[in-house]
Amino acid sequence: MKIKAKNRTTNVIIFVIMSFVSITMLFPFAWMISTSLKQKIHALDFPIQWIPHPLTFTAYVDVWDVSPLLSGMINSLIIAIPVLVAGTFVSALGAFAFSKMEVPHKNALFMGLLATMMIPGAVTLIPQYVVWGKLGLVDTFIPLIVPGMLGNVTMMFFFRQYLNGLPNEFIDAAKIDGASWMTTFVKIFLPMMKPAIAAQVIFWFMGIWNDFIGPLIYLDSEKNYTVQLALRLLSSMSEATSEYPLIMAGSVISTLPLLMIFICFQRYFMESMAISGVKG
Amino acid sequence: MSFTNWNIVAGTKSIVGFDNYIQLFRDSLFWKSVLNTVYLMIGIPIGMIFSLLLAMALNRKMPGKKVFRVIVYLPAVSSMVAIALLWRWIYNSEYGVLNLMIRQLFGAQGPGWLTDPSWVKISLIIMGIWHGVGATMILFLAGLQNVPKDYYEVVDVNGGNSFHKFWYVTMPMLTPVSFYVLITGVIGGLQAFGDQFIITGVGPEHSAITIVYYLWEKGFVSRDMGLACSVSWILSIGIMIVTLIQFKCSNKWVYDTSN
Repeated sequence: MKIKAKNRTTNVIIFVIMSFVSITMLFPFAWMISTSLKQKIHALDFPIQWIPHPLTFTAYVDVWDVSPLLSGMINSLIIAIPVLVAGTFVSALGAFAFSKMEVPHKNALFMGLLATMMIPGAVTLIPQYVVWGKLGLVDTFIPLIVPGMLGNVTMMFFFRQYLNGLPNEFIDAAKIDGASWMTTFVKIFLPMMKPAIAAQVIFWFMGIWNDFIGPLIYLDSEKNYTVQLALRLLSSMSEATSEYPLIMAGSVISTLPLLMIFICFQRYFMESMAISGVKG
Repeated sequence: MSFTNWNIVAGTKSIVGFDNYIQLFRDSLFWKSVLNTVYLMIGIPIGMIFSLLLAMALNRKMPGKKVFRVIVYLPAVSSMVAIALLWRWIYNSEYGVLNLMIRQLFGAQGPGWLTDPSWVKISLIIMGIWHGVGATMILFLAGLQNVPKDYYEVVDVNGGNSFHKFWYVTMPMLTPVSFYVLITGVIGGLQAFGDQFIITGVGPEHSAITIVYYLWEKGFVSRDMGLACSVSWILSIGIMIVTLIQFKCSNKWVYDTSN
């Protein structure tokens, strides 16, 4: 009884603290939404108006005209879809080979792959840029798509962990039925990997959506801008004229797809973060 | 490439030996970018402490813990540039909500969060913590859930209190996660770029220039690829050394669960 009562008091205290923390965490978002619903002249009002008066959605309408936000979002999707489809398949196939097939020196090969994860992205930036420049492919989506389609080591690592947990008996059964390795993979293992794939695809999608330095370097013309570059352009155009509602509306719009995915797949997120982090 | 004088626009290229490195080491701006990058990493331990506290608070059986977890994690799933723009607006020295609140509550003028060289880095660190605390918290939560319950019972049997539980069980069991968070945090921290780029650029008096920003500036604005490559080399060697040191030191404090 005593312990229970003590526990309850602690819970109440923590609950209060956490509510306070949550307000702090949410406060920037509240400000973002509040500003985006204001008229331009009221965005700079003092004292602070948390609930805009008058409430207006004009920023959400205008933002599409003044910035390449729509084409940016479409471009980001054009990059994301082939990368995710091909890259995920390649990573899963690679993971399958490393986990279930007998490849000579496969552990050494796998360690080699993992070692490439240690090379920071910022370091290979310039050599990569020079190579793509020589091929004449700067200001196209190719440098942003093709490397991704070849798979992703983090993802492969995660898939291998997952496949290691699936029984090998399936392979024997498939062999007896005369299935090739490829059929075994596509028909048997790929469907079993669905939860792992879902989690990793979401993560990777977020990475592509949020990628900034890649598009910044490779894409020069406005029509090729990805969502993040479009947003930056919007801000550099609108800040001088104090069009803060526009900037905030653009920010809300660019965040919405990610938030929706997060809310729908929240469970996968948390689990996958946990697995990839702790065992990595 | 780092030994060449290579201008990508003019297409000229010649071997210059160590000149790029010498030029780099003489450039006070380069040193400033190194110092700033290291300074900004103060946010890593602070963020880790916050994340750990949050994880412990939300690892209890408590109503509403799922909602709290989602709220804390929310910044981590938001669009990167959007977050940076949002904070740029929050930190606006005249009309930003922070200074408006300071004015409203205390009647005083708040600091120039992004315009005062002595505040810029602090502003960036605060934002970085807000942005990253959720992801780290999830990792710590997973770590906490891996701690076997009987370990705590042993402490109970031996008459230990909550502090003993934390100190002798929780802390050692969380060292592998902490190590992972630290390593990835430092590697990421050394490559800090995006947030700084959007929020402040180089900041007033270059007070927020980072190594990768310097690299980007040299390579893609001044188009001096040779020099930028030298920066890449120094950065990668730096990252390697720091990571190696961390691994070397890790057997002193990271508890190996296999034993």
